[in-house]
Amino acid sequence: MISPQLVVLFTAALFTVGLVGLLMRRNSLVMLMCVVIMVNAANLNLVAFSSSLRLVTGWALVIFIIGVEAAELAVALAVITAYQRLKGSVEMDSARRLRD
Amino acid sequence: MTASFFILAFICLAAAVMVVVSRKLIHSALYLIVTLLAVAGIFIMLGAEFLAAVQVLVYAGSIVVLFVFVVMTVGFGRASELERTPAWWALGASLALIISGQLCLALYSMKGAAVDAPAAGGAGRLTVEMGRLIFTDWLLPLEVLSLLMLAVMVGIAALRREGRRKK
Repeated sequence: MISPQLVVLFTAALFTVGLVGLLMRRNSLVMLMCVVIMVNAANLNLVAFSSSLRLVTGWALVIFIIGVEAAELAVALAVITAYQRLKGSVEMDSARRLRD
Repeated sequence: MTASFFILAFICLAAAVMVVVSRKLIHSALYLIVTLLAVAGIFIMLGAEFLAAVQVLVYAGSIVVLFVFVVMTVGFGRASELERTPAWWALGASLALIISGQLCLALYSMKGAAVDAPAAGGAGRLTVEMGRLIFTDWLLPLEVLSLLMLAVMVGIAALRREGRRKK
């Protein structure tokens, strides 16, 4: 038996780790990984409540979230590759402006 | 049941922390795989076997491969000066304490029925129900999602072409 309260507390911790990583690290690839962690925490929350309420709506929503997340990551990684070719680094310190 | 949940949760959290604090990018990517697999395990414990399979296939199978590919091609740059100072990480730790404290305070009074995956029975039935839901009620979002995928493909191709022309 897993109570949803337990799962929600765990996902809160996971989300916090992702958020703090996103704020603290300046490497764009690690920042993207932290976004993945945060989205996973949200997914876990949806699945926990869905299973608790015996509804499948949350599960279907998770499928959509995974699809959108994959699309987002593909675009983000392409942008990072293009940026690295332009500046020679993936650190966000030098990304004060996107033009040139 | 609860014990194995705690073990998986601990593995997941520890790997997530290692993603954030690892010095080398490739280590972060590999720890990310551990995090995602642990999340898939928790999906199974919550009775969502199909979602666990999708998680392993899509996240651990393709997204992390994409990450590792990009890390291998572009990821070797100098590390930021800011990240080397202890004060910066002290700031991060206090930020984490504040945010998680707020979240726990907000979630403390939550109520909900406990999840018991084996007793839920017919997880297969629920998966069938989910498939029916996606392909009937949520057909329009599904089509919008496939259009989004198409747009992403065309967009990335255009981005690469633009970069090559500028060079």
